[in-house]
Amino acid sequence: MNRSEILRRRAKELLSKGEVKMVVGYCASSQPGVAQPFFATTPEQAEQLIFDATCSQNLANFLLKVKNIGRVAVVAKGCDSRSIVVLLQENQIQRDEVHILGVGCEGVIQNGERSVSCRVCEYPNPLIYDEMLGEQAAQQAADTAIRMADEDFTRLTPDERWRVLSEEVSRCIRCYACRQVCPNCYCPVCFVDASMPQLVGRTHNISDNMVFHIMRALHMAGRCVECGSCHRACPMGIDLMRFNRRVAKIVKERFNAVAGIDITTPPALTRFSPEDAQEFIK
Amino acid sequence: MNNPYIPIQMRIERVTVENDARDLKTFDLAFVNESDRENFKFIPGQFAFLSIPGVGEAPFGIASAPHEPVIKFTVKRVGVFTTALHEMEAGAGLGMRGPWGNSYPFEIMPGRDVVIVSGGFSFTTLRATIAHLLLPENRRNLGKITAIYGARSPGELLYKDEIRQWEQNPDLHLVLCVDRLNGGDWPQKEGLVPNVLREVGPKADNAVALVCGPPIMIKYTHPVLKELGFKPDQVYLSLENRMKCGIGKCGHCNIGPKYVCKDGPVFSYAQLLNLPAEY
Amino acid sequence: MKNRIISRDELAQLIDRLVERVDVYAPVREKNGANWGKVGSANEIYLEAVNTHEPAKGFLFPRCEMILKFDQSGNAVEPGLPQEQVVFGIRPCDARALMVLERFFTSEGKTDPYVQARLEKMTIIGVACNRTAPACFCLALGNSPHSSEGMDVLLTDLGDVFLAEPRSEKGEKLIAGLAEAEVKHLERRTELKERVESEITGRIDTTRLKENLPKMFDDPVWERLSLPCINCGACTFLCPTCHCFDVTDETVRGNSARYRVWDSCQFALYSRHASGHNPRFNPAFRYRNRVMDKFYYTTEQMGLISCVGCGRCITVCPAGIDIRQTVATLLSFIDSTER
Repeated sequence: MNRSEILRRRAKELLSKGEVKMVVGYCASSQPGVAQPFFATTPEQAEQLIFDATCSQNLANFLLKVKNIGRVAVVAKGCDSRSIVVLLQENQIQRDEVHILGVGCEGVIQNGERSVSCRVCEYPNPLIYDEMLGEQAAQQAADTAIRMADEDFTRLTPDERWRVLSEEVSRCIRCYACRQVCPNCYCPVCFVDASMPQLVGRTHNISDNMVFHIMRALHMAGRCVECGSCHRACPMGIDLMRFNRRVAKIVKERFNAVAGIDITTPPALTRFSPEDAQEFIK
Repeated sequence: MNNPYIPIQMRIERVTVENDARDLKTFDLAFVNESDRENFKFIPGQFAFLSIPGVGEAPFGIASAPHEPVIKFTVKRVGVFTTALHEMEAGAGLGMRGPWGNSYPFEIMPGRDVVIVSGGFSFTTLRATIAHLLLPENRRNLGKITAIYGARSPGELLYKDEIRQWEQNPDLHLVLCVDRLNGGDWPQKEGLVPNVLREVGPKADNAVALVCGPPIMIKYTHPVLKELGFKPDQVYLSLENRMKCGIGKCGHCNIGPKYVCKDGPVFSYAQLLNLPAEY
Repeated sequence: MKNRIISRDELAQLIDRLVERVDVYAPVREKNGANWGKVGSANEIYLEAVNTHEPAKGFLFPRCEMILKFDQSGNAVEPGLPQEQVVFGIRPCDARALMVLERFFTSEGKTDPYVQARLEKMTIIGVACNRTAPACFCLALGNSPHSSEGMDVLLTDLGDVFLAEPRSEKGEKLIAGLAEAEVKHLERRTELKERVESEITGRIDTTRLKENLPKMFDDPVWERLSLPCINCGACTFLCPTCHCFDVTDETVRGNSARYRVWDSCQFALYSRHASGHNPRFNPAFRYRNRVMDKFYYTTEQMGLISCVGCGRCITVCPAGIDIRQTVATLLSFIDSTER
């Protein structure tokens, strides 16, 4: 049986036995190559569930939205499961509220291409799950071109980096699709919307766009699981993973931490250890 | 071409602190240019935007009646704009855009009783209305005028000097009420506005009711008006919604297909029954 | 007004002549298709994509626009008038959208002087669609991929030449002097029109929207329809007719200005009162607001459906939501309750 078939069978069982009130998964959308988040509440609806390379969104994003429904099952790829770990660590959800249907993932395909985040994915299988639906996914070799581009970036001067990044965000229309699609952006009032004090201007001044993207990346430091949902959600094709990979790399180098892989280790920026690097404090 | 985004230049003539918490202030404004004053014609119920360069704008109901010499606004300090406004003193300049919106339905009032129900600092446009209705040329065409105005405590009542005088004015029956009395020598009724309304029990026959208050007060006032016999087309509410332009373009204030800034802020209850409850 | 024909060479020359005088914007090649760009010559124009990624609304209603500057005394100063510009290669759905925006901003109630000024300085040259994309549904709403609504001139690529149909004095003047079109050209156009129109088979019964959508306002189906929606602004910002804006003041080194920027009814704080009360706190209400506005509210306000069927909200939605399916679901609910 392929993953979709196993998923449908298990979803129907969980729903008809009343073990969960809802299965959060994916279904086909009206567009070929694009899946839609789907919320099955009956065994009949569970027939529509699919899992394949079109399943782009990080479903952990919906766990807070459907909190009041009761116990839910959620389909989780490797990255999604890491987001669930972070949400658990941050007390946004409780472990017994969610039944994790783990799936191995060979990468999301968008517009005929394997998504940038998936090309350097190191966790194709869920790190936390109640059951695995089908085969584990094989670890694939990282895309060396992306790795090299990241290395090249570290050799740029700060001014050059500013130029590269601001060119990227000059296209930003501040639709906040990146923020909304991220499971770990759940602040009731985001810093860009604060008015007293106002932290970011609302025009498309390059300074304000840079503040938004850099600050969001920093707010995600040690918490971003590099699922690539933000990158794929951006309607303007901004290379958001550049920002996220860079911050994740710094967190790894400085704090030897990777978001969401170990539920017993709190996110890097929420803990302090005397051994933490501090040579930059002058 | 007439640009509705350009503010009229105004000057603060007087600032009055209305409550003990000092977060409610009344600003009396005068026109810097005489021609602007001549062109500014409004009817109670309408609102205007106040504008501070570099800070922003916000809409406020006009609290003065057309015959009065100043344009009066009562503002509660809640955010960026109102904080900046609260820090201004007499003599300072600011902008005003308006008058926008529709007004209370004065054209249907002659020959009828008028019942005014208001709570908190929403009383502003009803102050304008009462001042306007009490003018002899208007008063003589009306039946009984009953007004119920309530606040959380005596200190929160607006326009204290005026409403004390109105309490004594035989041309209107003004009942002031507070959620909780706190001693003092000014005995208002203790009670919530909807309950006091029920107690006062104005007649619905050939009457028009004007209601303005926070959403929660409006919600509990409707059933009382219905009990008293008011039909939906006899009840008029002044609503508010988030606004940015005031002229029906920015989209924020919509209630279904209607814009509060353009089709309102005054709506009859009959109209509201056909609109989504997005206010 | 006379219909004319224009060869590819003549068209290139016309564009190059325009470029010398005014700013000309046209679809240019972009990674996954086409988007608007200012062109320096006709050969930069790329008409092979079905449509541009972004709609043309930014030409009338920019993403960010300074509406007032303030001098040292706090007096408001209007910005200078916009430059003349030509918008070339706009598709019928987007041109219709410009017409909708014109109606909304300049003909209903107060006239917005900024949109009015841009309109007066703009020449709109459209190109008919000879093929569609999967998410296109202009026809489902009674519009057409060969419509000339909102244009000064409509060009149709007949293969060897373009048919040029003027729709305004401005348009007529632009193509005066070109050879007149013959019957065979008009016949070829009809052939192309019928062929492309057959590509879109879905239909939305628009006659039932005004009467029936209000009945669906309080229906719990919205909770379910809006579950996948993440309430970003992608659909509204890429929509050719969405026109909500925020007004924000900024002071830089003592100089203050007032800007308007695009805003979205999908954002949580969009309808929040100063008191904290938010009539559309529930994300389902915000999703509902957009659908109702496109398919019902604007019929009350202006007598037209403001959705033009361009399909961008469908392709750009991070959750793959299809507004056609939403409307079909609503109408089918009404059918089932009426039965």
